[in-house]
Amino acid sequence: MKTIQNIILSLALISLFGCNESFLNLQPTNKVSADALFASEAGIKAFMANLYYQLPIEDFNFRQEMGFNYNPANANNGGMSTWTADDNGVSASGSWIVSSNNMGYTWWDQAYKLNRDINLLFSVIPTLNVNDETKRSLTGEASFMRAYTYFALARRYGGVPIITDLVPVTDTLGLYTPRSTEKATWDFVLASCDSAAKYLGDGDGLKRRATKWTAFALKSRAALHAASVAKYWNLSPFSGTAVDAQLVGLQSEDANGYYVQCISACDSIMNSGKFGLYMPLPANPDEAAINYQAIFETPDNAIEEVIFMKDFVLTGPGYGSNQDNWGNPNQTKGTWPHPGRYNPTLDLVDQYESYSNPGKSSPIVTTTDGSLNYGPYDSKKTYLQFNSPLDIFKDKDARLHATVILPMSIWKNTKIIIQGGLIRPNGTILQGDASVTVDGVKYYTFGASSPQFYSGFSSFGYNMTMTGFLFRKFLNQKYVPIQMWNQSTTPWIDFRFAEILLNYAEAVVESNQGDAVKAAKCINDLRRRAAHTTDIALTLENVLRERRVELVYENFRYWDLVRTRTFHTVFNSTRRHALVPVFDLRSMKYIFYRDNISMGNVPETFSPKWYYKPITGIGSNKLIQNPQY
Amino acid sequence: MKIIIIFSLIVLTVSLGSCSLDNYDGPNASLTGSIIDTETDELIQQELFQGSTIEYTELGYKNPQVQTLRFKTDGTFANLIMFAGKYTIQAVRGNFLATPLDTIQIKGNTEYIFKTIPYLRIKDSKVVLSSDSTQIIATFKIENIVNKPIKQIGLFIDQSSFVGTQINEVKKEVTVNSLGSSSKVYTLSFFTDELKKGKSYYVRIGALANIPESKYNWVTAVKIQL
Repeated sequence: MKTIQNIILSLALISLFGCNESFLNLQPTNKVSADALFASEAGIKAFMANLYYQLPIEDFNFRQEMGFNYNPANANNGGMSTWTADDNGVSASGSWIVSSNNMGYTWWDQAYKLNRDINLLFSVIPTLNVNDETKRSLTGEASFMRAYTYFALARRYGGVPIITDLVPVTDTLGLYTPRSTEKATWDFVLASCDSAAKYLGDGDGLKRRATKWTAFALKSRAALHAASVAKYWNLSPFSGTAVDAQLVGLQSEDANGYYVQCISACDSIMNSGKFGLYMPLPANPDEAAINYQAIFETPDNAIEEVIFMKDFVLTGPGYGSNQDNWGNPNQTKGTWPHPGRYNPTLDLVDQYESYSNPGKSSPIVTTTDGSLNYGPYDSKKTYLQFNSPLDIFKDKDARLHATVILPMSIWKNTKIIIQGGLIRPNGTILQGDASVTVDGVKYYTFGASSPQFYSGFSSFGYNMTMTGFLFRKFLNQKYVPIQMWNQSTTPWIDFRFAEILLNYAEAVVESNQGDAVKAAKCINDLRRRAAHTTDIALTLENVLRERRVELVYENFRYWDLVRTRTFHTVFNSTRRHALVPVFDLRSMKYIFYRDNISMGNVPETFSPKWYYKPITGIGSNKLIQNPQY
Repeated sequence: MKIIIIFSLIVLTVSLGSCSLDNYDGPNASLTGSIIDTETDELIQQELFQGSTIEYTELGYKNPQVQTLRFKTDGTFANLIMFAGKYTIQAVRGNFLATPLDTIQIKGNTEYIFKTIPYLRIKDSKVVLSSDSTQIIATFKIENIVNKPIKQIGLFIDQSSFVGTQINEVKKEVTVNSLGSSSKVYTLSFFTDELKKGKSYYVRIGALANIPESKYNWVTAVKIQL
């Protein structure tokens, strides 16, 4: 009886609430409707700020394997970064070409989420309660963001679905937009840049938002990428369905057209007179080194060279970055437990020119026979002797001294001790953690008595350089690291005038279009800023060397290797190398030997299929997958 | 109480009764085979890592994924855990002319032989340790079957018998960039001072044709005792 009563009661209650349809029409109280957001200037600015945050800017927090804006509460990926994933650097704790490419971060879903937000912006601009000038400016910014989004997609995937309208969720057919060809996608990127340039002006001078010149700068970068892919496709051609449908691949006949577009975009910026190199005429190499380093440490003081930059104002999860933590030498690590993780390679250091021998790279020579081979210390060879380890680098390009901490150089008022061994009085080498006493004085293999006093070659905590070099560029000389994540606030320069000069020079020398004299001046102006006094000729080799040393660690190397299809030949079972300083107790001078990196450096191979990334969600989005995935 | 027990039993029976073991067979078939040079009837040598690829697709599904398999160094291959069924199969991106797309039935122990022409054949090869033990010297000729330029030749040395372009302690690759001739003798040598004395090393000669997506052609690795 009671059971039947309960059942009837329950049924009554269910039917009472089940019929309340208006329950389904309640508005959420934790979201702002589009109408409310765009009604105020502050709301528009907040929306734009979020879009800028979503842009695929490869800054301090970009990781090939983790994606963009990687600064969560626990940003621990062992100290890997883009700086340790090519031939310019390694990490003291491992080797990451393969992992960077295999770990599957592919930015597909976020790209189309950003794309949808950009399409929303486009649709809303005509309805906003702002003046026409602001509407033009917002349209220009939206075009720039659209161009940036598809640029990041095209260089990862080739041809992609181009979606420029807001597709209602009820329209199932519209959700299955097929991939466009790679050519159509690049053409769309460049057309969006043109549109942005048309609607944008000079901006407010702070360079934190897109301007006409940012649009041209992006265009020059994108056109150069497309031109290189067209020109060098045959160095690593693909076969398969995606190629047959031209979803990946560009014809070599298309290269010239893209080089010309790059040249014209660079010309617009160069001819505007609104940009220049910071401190273009230093008095000597020491000044040049200080100037170069200053550009990156305080971009606002070099604002004439900056075209577009991104701030990191606050610290902590979602705000700051970690390069000072991972990058500082062990001796200046503050209370951070794992410094010294970014190690520039000997392969990079070998690239820089010497002032007395301009026009070619000056690899570091350590023996009287001038051999550049790699191998352990060999007592049968005659090694060059130096009073100080810095002497071997004396004549080298100022940018080396500004980018890299060299052994025994001064950093934050501290002499950074990097040493990998001793030559005993009997002529044999002593390595590992040990010491030798000569005439009552104790000498240590690593250059000092205990780990807090040196920064190289010990396996202590993976905190010491394994290459003989440490990171300098971008690091904040006034900041002492603490044991917290995301504390670095150095701004990131995304586009600067130096890149425009280099893009122009490369496009001219590759295509024989444009002004060769102007192009030669581009690379020589950059060298003059680095205190070179002799000009060099415009050759592809000179342009590429200049690009590598000027733009090092600004996240160009990976894409330069991809667009010229040289990644798989540069990384074919390839090891990277170290320069090991050793103190010779017979002469009380330093010698060096060139060697394979001893720890964590396995031969790495770039698999050609990684020139394109795999598209996610293939089973359900009906798209054609990229080759060999 | 009794009602609760009976009720629970009813629920249990119903839910268990709706479970049945899935009625598909496990992978109880296997596919083995080799790749044969149709002109010489010999196995076409391969390398295990980043070598030639066998692509196969199981038919009968809406969006079948292409699966891949590798050859062993001697040119044979085996997959002992396959689902029985109808498959397309093809050997591609290798050191041979790509085989045509074939459809086969895999059931029980199935054997499949790829018959094709390699890009290059390495002939009259010899690997020796010099009389003073300071060098490993390899001499060989190359027969160019498909008349495309030889891009480069290589000597690969490692303590493992899987020596190849990815597994090597040391290697020497020399650019050739010519069609070559069947009588030309190539020599590749390597100084032993970079290797460990007293160990035995596998030394393998390879030649790469200048064809898109091609892989090295090989001869069997030779074991040298230092």
